[in-house]
Amino acid sequence: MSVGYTAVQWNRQKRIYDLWLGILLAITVGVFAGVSVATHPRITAETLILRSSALAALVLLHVILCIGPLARLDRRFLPLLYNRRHLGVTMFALALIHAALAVFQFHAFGVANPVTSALTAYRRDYSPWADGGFHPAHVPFEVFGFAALVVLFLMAATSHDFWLRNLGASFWKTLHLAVLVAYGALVLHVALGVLQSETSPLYPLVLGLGLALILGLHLAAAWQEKHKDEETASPAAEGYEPACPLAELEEGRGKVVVVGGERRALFLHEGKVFALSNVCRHQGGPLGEGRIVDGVVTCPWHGWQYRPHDGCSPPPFEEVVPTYRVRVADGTVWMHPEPLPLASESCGVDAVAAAETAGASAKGTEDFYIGYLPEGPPALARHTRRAVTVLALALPVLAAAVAWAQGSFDRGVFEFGVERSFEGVLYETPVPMLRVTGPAAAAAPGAARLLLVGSGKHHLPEVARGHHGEKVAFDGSLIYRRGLTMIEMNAPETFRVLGPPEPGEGDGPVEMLGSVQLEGELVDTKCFSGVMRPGAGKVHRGCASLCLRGGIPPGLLVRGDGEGDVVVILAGRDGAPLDFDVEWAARTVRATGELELLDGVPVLRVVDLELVIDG
Amino acid sequence: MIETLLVLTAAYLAAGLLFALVFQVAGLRRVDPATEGAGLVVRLLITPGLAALWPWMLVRWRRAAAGGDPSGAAERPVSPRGLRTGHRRLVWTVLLVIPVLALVTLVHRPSPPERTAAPQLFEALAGGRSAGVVIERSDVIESSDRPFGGLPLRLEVRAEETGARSVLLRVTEDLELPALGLYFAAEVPAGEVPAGGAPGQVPAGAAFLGAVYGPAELGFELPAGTGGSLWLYSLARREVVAHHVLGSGR
Repeated sequence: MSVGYTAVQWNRQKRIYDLWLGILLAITVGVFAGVSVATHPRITAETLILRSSALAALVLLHVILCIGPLARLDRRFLPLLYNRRHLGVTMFALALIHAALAVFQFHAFGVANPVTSALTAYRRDYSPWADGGFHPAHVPFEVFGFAALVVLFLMAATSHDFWLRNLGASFWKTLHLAVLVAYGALVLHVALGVLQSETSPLYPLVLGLGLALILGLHLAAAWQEKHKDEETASPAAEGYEPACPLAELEEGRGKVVVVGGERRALFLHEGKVFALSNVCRHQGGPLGEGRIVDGVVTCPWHGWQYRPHDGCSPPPFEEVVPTYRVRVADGTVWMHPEPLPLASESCGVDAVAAAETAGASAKGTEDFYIGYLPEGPPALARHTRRAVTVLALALPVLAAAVAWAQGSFDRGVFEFGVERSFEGVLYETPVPMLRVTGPAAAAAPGAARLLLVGSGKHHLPEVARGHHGEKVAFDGSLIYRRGLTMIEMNAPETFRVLGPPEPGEGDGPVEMLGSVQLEGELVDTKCFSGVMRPGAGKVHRGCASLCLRGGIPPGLLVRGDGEGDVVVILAGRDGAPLDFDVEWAARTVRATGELELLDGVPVLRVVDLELVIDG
Repeated sequence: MIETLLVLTAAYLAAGLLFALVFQVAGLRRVDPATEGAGLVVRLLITPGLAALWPWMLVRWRRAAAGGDPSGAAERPVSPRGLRTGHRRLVWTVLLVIPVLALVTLVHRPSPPERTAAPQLFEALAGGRSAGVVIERSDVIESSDRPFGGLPLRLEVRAEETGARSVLLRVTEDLELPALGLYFAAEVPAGEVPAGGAPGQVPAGAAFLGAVYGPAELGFELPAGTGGSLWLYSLARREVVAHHVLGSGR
């Protein structure tokens, strides 16, 4: 209740609530990060933040979605409901961290606007129903996460009481029901995204258990509510409908009855029966499940109060709920379904015989939680402590299991921030490479080919083009994995042409391996070689697609029979650029062509490249 | 189409931010008198909502400016029964749709690409693999675990009756070194290469045997004779990584 707005109406209970929220989140994120680093030492900081924020947000969303039905099924969970909006805003903040970092990591520094790229990476995509089967690889997962983020944003942005008042409780509640839509979208985001690459059965199991828990609790609560609504009244007399036997009323306590097809609240207070709307003006809480505290009806959700005789909040507060006329006859409470004019003082009626009521002696409020009071009832406090303890025990186990079950992370090194000087012969075809030779003192110095890429998701810088076959020098950073090494030319201003190559520095031996047909995942060689971990798979698909669009040489990740994986550089024939669809990135393709080794680097001069529709 | 939608959304939100600024100054107190005295933090907290829902607030502002109730003549009363019904239907929809879709996406996860039958690729990458047959018929004259400064590889030197020697490197994992080459030098160096490599050259007269990477089994032929040393040299960093004196292993 408020006569003016404050940012947060802090009180002791809220501080304790938020403190435990912080502790539980810190435990979840800390355990996930610790176990991830211990069991997967190659995980990058970016991936760690992406995954831990996603895990924390999802866990929090599950908790949020469980609190509502739990409080309906068992009133002892009401203290958890009290400050639920802080959970929601925190959850949105975590989701925003995840989304912002994902867009930055996978879609920034490319040839397209990052947000546009995140949502359009699949625009020329293939039907998920191609060839008579369903192919989730063809369905974008980013859009589901984006949709959920929009819903969560709207909920977080309207979480302040200002919005409750200015949107109206009905619209506000309807808007916040959309959290279920956000949840559904997030389940699909996870199922179509990370679970397409992660093969541990733990993930579908955890996701399924979470889904079953949330939906089961909501259905159980809905079932209970439906039964309450079906308690229809008997025929009316003079407009009055029987509400309930007087004996069912207890002094100081509310009772929810269905009259005129809608729920109302009945209260027995100091021997009088009062009827009010069951809907709290705050968040629509069930007043009939509340109590009389200090002579006023008190909502069980957030403690908003109304005088029983006129429905008005005690001054200086201005909220009013409708009141109704009641009668007591033959041991039955009758109620007129039409509300009295707002704030009219005529709804109370004497109970015929106080002795007929079960609550002749008023019961206390020892089991009634009011969040803004310094202390909650001891019994509820014990129950809340137990619930928090269960979470404090379960969350680290969950976080550890999720961290441990992650698939192994690729090797590969990106010497980010380490600039070295390079000198060699530049080749622009079949893909940009620098041929460097071994130590000059050696009788047979040997040579190696280092792929050349630009910074970010760009290919060879403009300054380096048009110098095919010339000896050049420049600074850059190394990226390497297995037998593949590349240079990120991140300092194009250092590029200089040294002239024609010396004998032995130019074209090296080309080992022709003949015609082959290879099948593997289409990857962008830069990310796969060490810039990203993971640098392959569906979660990386948007990034790979953008890299390929920016001119990063495409590679085919080929799995050998016991020899490990090899990336074969894909190139066009006769120096022509490879004609292919960048949206095949992260999918299985079949390439046919002439295979050759350029100083040990496998290059396939592609004759035919096709997408393999996986059954 | 998505680009157009994004541009329209950005324009909508930009208009909303502009509206929020004007509204905070001129309309907030009129629409909601309870904001009287609201601090800066409250105003900041409601700004994202104003930017997103500005048409709604614009209507309320116009009503208030006309002297009416900002919420309209009769604000729609809360209908908890309607909300409960909507809630129930939403739960049922999510219950029926989401698990089915999630299950279908998991059942139809793409299987990994087939292993490629391109032996020439892997044989060629393995350097002297074609000499493997010879190697198998040879005697192991030296074997050594981690002979190169702790790098994860095993070295075997084999010799034929003819005196020809071969080197087999079993690299168990990615060496995480760029453009690594193996060199043979007849001379034996003095001193060790410090951990982390050392700028410098392999001995004069050294010969490049081939690229080294892992995980892989790599075979190389050595010049006939005895002794000598093997050098790992990064052609990208132009530095010696490690060396091994032949004959110093078992």
